[in-house]
Amino acid sequence: MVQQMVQQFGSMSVQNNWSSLWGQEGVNLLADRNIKTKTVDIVPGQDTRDCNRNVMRSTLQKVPETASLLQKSRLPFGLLIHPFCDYENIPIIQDRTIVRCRNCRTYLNPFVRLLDQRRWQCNICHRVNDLPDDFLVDPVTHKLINYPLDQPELSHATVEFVASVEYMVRPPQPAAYLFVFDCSAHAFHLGYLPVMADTIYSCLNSIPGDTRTMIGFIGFDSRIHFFNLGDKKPQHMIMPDIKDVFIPSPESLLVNLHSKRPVIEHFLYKTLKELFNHDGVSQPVAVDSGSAMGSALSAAYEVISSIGGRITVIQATLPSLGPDGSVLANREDPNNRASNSSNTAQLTPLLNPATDFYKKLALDCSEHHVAVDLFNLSPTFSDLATVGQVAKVSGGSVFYYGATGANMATNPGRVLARFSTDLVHYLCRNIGFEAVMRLRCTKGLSIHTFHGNFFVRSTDLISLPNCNPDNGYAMQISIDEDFKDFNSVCFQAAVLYTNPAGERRIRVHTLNLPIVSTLSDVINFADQEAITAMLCKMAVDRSMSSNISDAREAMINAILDLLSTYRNVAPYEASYGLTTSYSTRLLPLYISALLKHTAFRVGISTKIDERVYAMERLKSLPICHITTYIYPDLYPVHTEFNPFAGEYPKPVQLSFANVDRNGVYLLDTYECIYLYICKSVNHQWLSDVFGVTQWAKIPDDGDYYSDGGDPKVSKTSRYSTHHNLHNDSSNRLPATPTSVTPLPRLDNPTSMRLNAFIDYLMSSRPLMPHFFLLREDSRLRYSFLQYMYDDRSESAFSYYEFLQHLQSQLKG
Amino acid sequence: MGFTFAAFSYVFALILDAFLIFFAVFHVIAFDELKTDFKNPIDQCNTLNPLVLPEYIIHITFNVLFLFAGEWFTVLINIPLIAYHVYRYIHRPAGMSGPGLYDPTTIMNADQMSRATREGWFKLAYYLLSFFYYLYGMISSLIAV
Repeated sequence: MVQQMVQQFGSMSVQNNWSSLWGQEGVNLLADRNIKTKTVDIVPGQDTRDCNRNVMRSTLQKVPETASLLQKSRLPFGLLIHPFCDYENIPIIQDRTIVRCRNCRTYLNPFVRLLDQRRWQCNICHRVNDLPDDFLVDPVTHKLINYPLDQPELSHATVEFVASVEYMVRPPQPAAYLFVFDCSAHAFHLGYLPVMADTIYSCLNSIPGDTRTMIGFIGFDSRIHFFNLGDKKPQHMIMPDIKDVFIPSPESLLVNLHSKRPVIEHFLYKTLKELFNHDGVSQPVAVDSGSAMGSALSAAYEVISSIGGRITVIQATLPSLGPDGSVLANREDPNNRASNSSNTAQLTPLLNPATDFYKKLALDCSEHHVAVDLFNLSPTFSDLATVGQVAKVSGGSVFYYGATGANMATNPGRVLARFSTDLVHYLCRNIGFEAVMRLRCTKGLSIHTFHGNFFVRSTDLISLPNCNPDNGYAMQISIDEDFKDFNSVCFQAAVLYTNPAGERRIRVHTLNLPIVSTLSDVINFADQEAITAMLCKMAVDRSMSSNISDAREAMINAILDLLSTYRNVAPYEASYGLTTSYSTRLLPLYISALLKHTAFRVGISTKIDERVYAMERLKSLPICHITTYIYPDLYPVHTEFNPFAGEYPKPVQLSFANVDRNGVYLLDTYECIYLYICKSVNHQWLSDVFGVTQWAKIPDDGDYYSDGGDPKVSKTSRYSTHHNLHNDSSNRLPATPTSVTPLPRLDNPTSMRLNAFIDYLMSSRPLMPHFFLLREDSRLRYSFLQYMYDDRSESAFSYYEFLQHLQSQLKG
Repeated sequence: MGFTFAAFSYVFALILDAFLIFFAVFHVIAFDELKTDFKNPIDQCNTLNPLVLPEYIIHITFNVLFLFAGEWFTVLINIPLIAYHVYRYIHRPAGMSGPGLYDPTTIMNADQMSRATREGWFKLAYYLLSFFYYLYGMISSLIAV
């Protein structure tokens, strides 16, 4: 019978899928382990009236009509929103009255009911409103339009308005960027400062802004370094009193980018580099290993708070000096890491902040329209749980470069290259200032919980001092009233922001969802990716408030609930095996992967910062990336594919059973890319891609890796020809960046295709993944193997065992 | 008949309980204001947090008096609330530097909000009922021989 089912899945091509899509068919999970690759999702076609699936997506594509029906389905109901997503063709409306409901202030959208040419009924509060006179006038020709449905508000789910004066509490602020960087001895050894200086220097032209754009720099070690950019030459001022910081000449710390351009350039290519480099010799000026990050941040807040804007913090080590609460102690004992990872109750305090200094600072920032973004370069413990709050609450982002095997200690060259590429993206990406986002939903629905980086200001309003295209948000929704007489409900997310050109804009996304009255409709139209994304956010909250074991149990219970509900919905189908609806068939696979994810795994020694970062990612990644982050893609790249024609290898599931002895595999975990080369690989392929004839000569990233100890020579230095003057002998000297990937670009079709595919993967995400090149016998082999989520590991079930466990739980 | 220590503690408790009722009313109003967008969560937490410990201290103060007066039954009915207060304070959000229970970043979650609202109403009822009970206790200890 298993064979038969396998064939059935195999033949499940497009025409078969329709019946499954309409929920007529259950899927026996035990029949095929490769359920992800053997089945296909059909993404419904979209026109402009449907909200882009990556912008706003509901966990349930059809909404249950009562709260009790939702309760019966046992599924989480919520929205995943990526409001500032970079996509083109958003109609921009200006010079016309912004049509809104007079009662609930909803914007006119394609799903309202037009009663006649003059009146419309709001789909959020059901009030009947008038259309303004100028609505039917074409702004260009000034003639009357016969067909109002052609207006962008009524034909597009996403529109952008240019806002008038009523939408401003103060004149739109200029783009203001303040960089706060670590310049202690730690920073010197990491060697990031010259990289940062060069990167900012090269990006000065493409930083978003207008003629008013402001920029400033503050450094810190055990003192605070201010740089006066108001004069002809940059002036370096040192403030030793870090308990009570006095800010010298505040107006010349943050200066106009255009009028002071020569001073800024001089600062970046001269002053900043000379901080460590007197008389051309690379030596630390003073061995100062303190870090007064808390004071520096408070000072930065003082400088920028009157304008609003963005503070970029680059952290190289744990803050060790400064006002009370900003000084952090090392809470993690690396020797206890393994036992700590099993004892989840001890882990909970480590996931939570130790002090609220950074949170309070972020709240102040948020009030003054300042967002803080954190770049953490420290390879050792740096209390991301506490310091990260500064970005979380102020609506910023966290960038972490301390992951095991991919940090400054083990591979400085490549990490610096990643840092530099990420910084370019970060500096040039679109940005919105002094923003707020309001989510309105049809009367009877309310927002239960918010997930993401922001501050919740009232029941439906979040304040986002900055909005950027890389952060996603989620809201859990609860149903308060019955929708028996309605056909659909509506959600409208409106982001009010100031664009870099100083123009006030409103971006409005509207999502309309039909209402259903039966349980089978709710379950058959569930969105498994969205549900997984929502469940993992809820699990992160649970881990912080209770402990990780509880969170794991809650995720397993969510699956058990789903399976037992399906038994009630389709008793006949569920009578054999372990059956679930087609629309939720991958949930057990995703949950089984989440249980082994860095954020939730137990029993495996995990750096606490890495875990905290993984949790932060699960909370703030937008829907288009989170699935890869939860369940990585494994591509067999030795097969035929042609990236130049848009033809990419098809991913296989994460089991070693799918790894061929003579294959080459590319594992994409969103944060890292592993190229794994098996022993019996074709020699022609080797010489094509690496230019070597012997497998053993492939430069493996594990060769120079020593476990946690002193970093050895930068591995990648072998490939780059232009940089390593002092990289060979001593790790005391700062590293220099190399290329992000160690793959040579050779002039033959195989190499070109592989490189094109890797380039495609890297360009599909905002941040550079860390690249690992591993031979089958590599010392880092385990880091690849830990992603084989479908296989059994020392401390966790394989996917099949997990299914069997679920089955026995259901019977019991 | 006489003004015993028990009678004194009831009189004292009566006065303090009146304050507690005000605290509870204030608490209920504060969370209602949050729910209806009248107040900013940061301001609201700043006003609520300093009031948490005084409330607990007032409640514990007159219970200590009852304990000394040997009013065992009165102490008994107050013990659950004292235990709840202690539990609540131990499980307050991690890393708060000031006194108090409420964290402006999490207070807007529906779970926390409904819990706080329920807590407010429950305490209001509890303090009101105990107000009348203390009144009864005061009179009965005053007229007791």
